[in-house]
Amino acid sequence: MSTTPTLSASELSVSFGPREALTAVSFELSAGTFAGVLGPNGAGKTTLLRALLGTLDHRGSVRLAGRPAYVPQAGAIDTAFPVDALGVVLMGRYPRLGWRRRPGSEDRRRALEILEQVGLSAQGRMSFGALSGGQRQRVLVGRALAQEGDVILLDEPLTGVDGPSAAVLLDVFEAQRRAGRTVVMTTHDLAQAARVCDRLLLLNRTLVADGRTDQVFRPEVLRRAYSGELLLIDGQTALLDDAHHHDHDHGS
Amino acid sequence: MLEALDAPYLQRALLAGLALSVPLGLLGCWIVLRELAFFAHAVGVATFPGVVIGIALPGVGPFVGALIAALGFSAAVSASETDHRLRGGTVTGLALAVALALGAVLLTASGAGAAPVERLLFGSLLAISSGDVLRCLAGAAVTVVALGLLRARLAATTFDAGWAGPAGARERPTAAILLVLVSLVVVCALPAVGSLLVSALLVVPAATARLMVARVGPMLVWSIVLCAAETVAGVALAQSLDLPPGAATALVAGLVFALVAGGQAVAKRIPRPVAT
Amino acid sequence: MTGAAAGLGELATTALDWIGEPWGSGFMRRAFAEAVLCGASAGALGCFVLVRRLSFLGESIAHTIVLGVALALVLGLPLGLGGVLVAVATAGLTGAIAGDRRLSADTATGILLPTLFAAGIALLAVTGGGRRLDDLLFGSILGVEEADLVLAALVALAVLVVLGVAGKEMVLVAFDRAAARALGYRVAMLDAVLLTLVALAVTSGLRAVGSILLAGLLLGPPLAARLLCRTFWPMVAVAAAIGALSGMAGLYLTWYLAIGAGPAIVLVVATAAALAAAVGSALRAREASGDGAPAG
Repeated sequence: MSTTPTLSASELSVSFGPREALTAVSFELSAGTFAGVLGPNGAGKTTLLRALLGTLDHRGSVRLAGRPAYVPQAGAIDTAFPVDALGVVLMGRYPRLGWRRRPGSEDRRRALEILEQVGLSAQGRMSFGALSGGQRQRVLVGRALAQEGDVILLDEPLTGVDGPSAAVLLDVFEAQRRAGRTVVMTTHDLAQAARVCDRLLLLNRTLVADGRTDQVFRPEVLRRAYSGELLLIDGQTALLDDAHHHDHDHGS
Repeated sequence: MLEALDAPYLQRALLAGLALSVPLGLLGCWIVLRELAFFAHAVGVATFPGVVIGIALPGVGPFVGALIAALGFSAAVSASETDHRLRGGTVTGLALAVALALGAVLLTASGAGAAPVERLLFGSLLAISSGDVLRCLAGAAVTVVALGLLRARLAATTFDAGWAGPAGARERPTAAILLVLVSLVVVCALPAVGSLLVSALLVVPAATARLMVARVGPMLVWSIVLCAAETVAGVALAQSLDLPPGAATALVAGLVFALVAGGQAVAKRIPRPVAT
Repeated sequence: MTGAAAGLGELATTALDWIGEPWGSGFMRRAFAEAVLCGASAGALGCFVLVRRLSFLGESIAHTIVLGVALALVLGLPLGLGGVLVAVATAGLTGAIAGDRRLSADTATGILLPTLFAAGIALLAVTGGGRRLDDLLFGSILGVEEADLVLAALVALAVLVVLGVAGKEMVLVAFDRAAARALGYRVAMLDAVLLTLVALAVTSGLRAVGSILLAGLLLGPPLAARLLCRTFWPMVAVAAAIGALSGMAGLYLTWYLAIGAGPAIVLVVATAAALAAAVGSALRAREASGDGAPAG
């Protein structure tokens, strides 16, 4: 297995006006890795992904070998848009079509394959807005798969997703990892990330920890990342992640 | 009635109307899907001072004047209209009122009188010139080509403004090009339906199409068909009732929408047998 | 020294003459009153339109109200009644169309504005009200009569009373509808009250600046006030003041430069907004460099 990094950052810093969102983040990921980016709200997880994709001004350097594929949080999606599940997956092919505007039969075949991979072959013709939350998320991951990226970046892909859909998606991520791709997933779910990821990055504006699960999952490490939001019970670690955490040192 | 079609003014009117219904129908879909109806209305209104200045200045002409005004207006409000979170705000409203006030003041200053105002605002499809028809055809061609090339990006960015960026389709340039196309088509349609009502043909047929189908492709087709049919019917109505053609087409478009929307509302209330 | 004082005195007298001259004419006095009343009402209400992001709906009502006037003329009803009915119908239909999740509020407004407006124009055309149309579109403040002034005064009074009685609640609904409902307020009723006031203000504003320019009077002063004020109620007061003063300034321009009153008023509003933007950003720049701590 090649060890040249497919995704790396060096002293990556991002600021929004006076507020530092990311400070001196450095790491390297190689092919065939499934990494989880963890941290409390406001830690900069989404900012990190956007900086890695090159859509944010940043200091320091970012290197992404090959093509990216991206599943953002679903906030900007217009669920009333007239498109069916197959159509959304096909959108993943658009960047590669360039000026040739129509997807061809090969693109459609690939999209149908992907729908099967995410367990939605029967729902191809259903309107996107009519799908359940978990089904929609599977379609959006399908769109990312259609991009055939070497590095797949997912922003909280399993948040709010029902159990069965989440299981399907985790299988898909694992399959991508086995196929030699680099999968990066931001998440709140510490336990789940520990189970499925082979690499964990703990982010709280800076990179607090970076390594394998057993390396990262230690009380003193977790405490540094979740400063003040960690409760120790009987020597075992119980994590209280305040979902309504606000940053207090920047205006409005 | 068909002999009436021998009249050149009617031929020009129909040719212009049918030529325009293609870009109006296509653009209208994106206007509906991207919530640009306020912008489309405002651009129409904003052409007014440009037309007045264009008529007053030798060698410029109303078309160029209107185009410059429309593009200037688009540039002025583009910051708020290309960000999908800020769309359709107060800036647009104020800018359009200012444009109209400017136009009215300039009109008084140029001493042109009230009759041309009516024509500018409501159109005079039946008095359209060959030059206008040519401009309609040219504008239609440019728009069709541009929208064809941008079709995939428009769909991707309209559906999900957050994804397309990193994947290659750029949201802001695509949005800006759309504003330019709307400006161009509105200016071409001015002699036909006037500035106050051009938004009717941009929004209403596309909205009707949206109610009829569930995918973008068919929606684009139906939008063009409805726009063309409503334009022809509007011209007929304008002739028989001596109305401005812009008003007549807007009315027809509204009636068709009401029929489709009303029909669907009624159909929902009819209990359906459960499929087994 | 006396030469300078005499010069200054002369200047003052000339200035007073200039300012006082229009007030000698009856129609100008009435026009001033109408402009102040309409400008203040529209300015104050426009603040609610602005914060509730209803600018397009406001513009729509300003146009569809022509249908209301046309209907009122045909049916022999008071114009204000026709206006309010159609305005309420516009808002109701907009909500109904936008209720279909396939269509947005923007699309719904975009459908109703030109179609109902066209219906109004058509009705006026077939019932011979063509001359009326110019007045309706561009205003006819110089022909204001006592009845119009009474309406404008009543509207201004209604705005004062409603804002005095229910203003806090209306602000709450504007900023956090869900919370207002949870606290037991009749949100729909407050919406209806705001809508009725806007309809009345638009109807009386038709006289002053006309249907097409009404958006300028409704949206301009609030926009200017927004750039100058940080909290809501000062914004309402400033907007009302700007509306009233712009009305008067516009009429001076009309008197001395012989341009249309409606356009003149809206151009003054636009200038005020531009000045406010300049002053506002200068104030903010001074604030930012003044103290290091961010506002908060």
